[in-house]
Amino acid sequence: MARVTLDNVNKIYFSRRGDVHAVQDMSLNIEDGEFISLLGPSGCGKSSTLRMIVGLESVTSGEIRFDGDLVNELEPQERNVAMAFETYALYPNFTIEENLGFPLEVRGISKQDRKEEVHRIAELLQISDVLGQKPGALSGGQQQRVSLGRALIRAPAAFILDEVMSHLDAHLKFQMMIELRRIHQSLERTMLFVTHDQMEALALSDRVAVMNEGRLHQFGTRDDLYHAPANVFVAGFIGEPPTNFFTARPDESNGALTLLTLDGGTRFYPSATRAARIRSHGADQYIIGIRPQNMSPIANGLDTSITAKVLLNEYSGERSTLTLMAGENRLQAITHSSDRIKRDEEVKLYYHPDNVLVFDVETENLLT
Amino acid sequence: MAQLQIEGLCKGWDFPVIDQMNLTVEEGEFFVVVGPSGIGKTTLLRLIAGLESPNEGRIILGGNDISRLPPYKRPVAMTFESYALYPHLSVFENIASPLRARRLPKREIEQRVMDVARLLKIDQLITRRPAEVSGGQKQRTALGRTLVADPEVFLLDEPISHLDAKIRHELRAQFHTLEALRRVANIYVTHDYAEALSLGDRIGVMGQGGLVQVGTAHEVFEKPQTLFVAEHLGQPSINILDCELSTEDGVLIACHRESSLTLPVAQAHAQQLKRGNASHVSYGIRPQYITVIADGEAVCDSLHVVDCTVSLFEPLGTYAILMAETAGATITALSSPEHRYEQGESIRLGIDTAEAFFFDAVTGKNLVL
Repeated sequence: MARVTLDNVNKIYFSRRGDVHAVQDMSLNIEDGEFISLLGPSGCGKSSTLRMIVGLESVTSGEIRFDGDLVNELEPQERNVAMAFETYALYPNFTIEENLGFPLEVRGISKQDRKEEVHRIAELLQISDVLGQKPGALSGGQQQRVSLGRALIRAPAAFILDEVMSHLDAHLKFQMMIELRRIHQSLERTMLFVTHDQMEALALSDRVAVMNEGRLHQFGTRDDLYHAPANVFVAGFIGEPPTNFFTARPDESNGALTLLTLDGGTRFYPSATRAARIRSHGADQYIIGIRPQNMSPIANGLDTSITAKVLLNEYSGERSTLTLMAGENRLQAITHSSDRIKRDEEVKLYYHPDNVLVFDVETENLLT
Repeated sequence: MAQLQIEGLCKGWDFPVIDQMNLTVEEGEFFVVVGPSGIGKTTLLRLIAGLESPNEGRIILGGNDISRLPPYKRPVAMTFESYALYPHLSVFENIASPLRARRLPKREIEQRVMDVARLLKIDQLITRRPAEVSGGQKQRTALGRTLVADPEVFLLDEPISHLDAKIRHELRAQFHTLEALRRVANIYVTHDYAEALSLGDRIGVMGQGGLVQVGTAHEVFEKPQTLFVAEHLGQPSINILDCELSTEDGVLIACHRESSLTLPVAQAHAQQLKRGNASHVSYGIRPQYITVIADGEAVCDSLHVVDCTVSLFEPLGTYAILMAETAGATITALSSPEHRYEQGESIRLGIDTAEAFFFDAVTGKNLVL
């Protein structure tokens, strides 16, 4: 069991061709038994952060503590954390059973106990039928599950899972997500999951830490990230397809405060509280964000809408994604796949004023 | 000009990965192969590229049999899921390598590499080496190296699966509009059904031994020929209930074998099922056709309402997954993430029985097409 604390942690990679400040002033408090995710685009510093926690990478400055004890100088094996990697890192000449049992063998656990534990974990991960084979004979998804199993079998204080689901197909991924959730609930161990896939992060973790360019942008629950994204980056990164953005200026010519896009073609009605906030903020331009799933061609009792022309209708089974143009602005909306909307059709997209997010143009921070 | 034909292709003898496969991909067509991991999607691409040799069958490109040509003589460009970049060369040189091999003029190489790099948003890192860029950036470099060449067939092996949602959606839109892809035959391999449905002009669902069904996105999702296709496309996957058909008061009903749940069969389906004398079936209903009915909400006739207890509620990004127990059976529904359900909560679910599928319990064939 461990509470993991990062206090102003920095990581700089020194190089002749210019230093890279990979992690900047990162502070994070992971509660004991909490399941959290580090999420960010590739190159955001999430893997560096993780590697510092495990001890595979030195800390340039700042402190990392487990249950209050400073671990900056401890070797990886002294930290009692287990890690599963994106690249499976399996022993190619060992069978799957030997690969899984290896961490136990190192700790001198008897053959019988080892066998029982290996079979229990194999059952959990649905790889019982390949225990006798070598990694080379397994598919990528199966190898990944073995790698995960090898981390789970050690029963450490904290688990670190680095992109462990990226090679699984959608079907298995979903099963594994529910499995991991269940494993976490039964083990009650601190789990730190690193991924670029927001669906995995949102589904699995209690809280998600969103990183970009070496910095932590927001640390919160799914609802925090969806309804109150700290800034334009978080709003754009969380949500699939990404949030639509417009630059607009406030307009009070009709009495009520509305936001009119710069091309003058699209008018948004923010909620009364946000309108008041815009008035007190007093800037002459704002960035508007609205999520594709919050814009629908079906009115559903709403009377606020914008008009746009369909460029593309991408069908993906349960739903379709429309790509449209509203004046000079490109945007996306999600619809039911049964709505057969054609290219070049003009549609009205309805939205709820509460879903219009407003950001400052300069700082890109949400007006709260 | 460059139509790709695969005739009677076989790979492997005792347990063939690909068994007698036939496929024609037209010039300018974007053909997507989707299937579970380990089924042989990558093997198919490697056979076309010449990295593996088939045990039988022919690969014909624009009328010429290329089955016996070595890989470097085939007008084919392929991206690999494992990137396969040159570690000692910069991003620029990696993308430029197919052009250098053809000894094109320096200026043309520079122009084409930079065009591709801008398209893929890696023009800022052009001087870095693969070890100095992130995984997603490596993947885009590998994709760039494929796009820059001027082949007659593009083979794309999971080219965007490791990227984050934002870039993935941008690249997806580009695949729809990229001119370069409209001049050649494309085969795109993915394990992500949503990606497959949204990108493919046609989709081939791969199962044991080869393609199980080929068709447009609407065809494979809405008219799956087999249980395997229905189960593979869709997330969460389709509810499958092992059912016995019986007639009660002249009405056909499906009785779940493992619980006391019974479901009425829609008129249109009942006629076909009776004609086929079906009795033991796999009843399939997609989670999107099961909805929560709020208290006091009017219920339309086609919905079959069942009382349930919530067993799991998982809010994802744009939707949530709701699993519930009813009469001893577990069913999965799609719901909105904005409304929370607690474990143990009593709810009413409406099942749109007109959208059900019926598969033969033994052969897995769709009985109502």
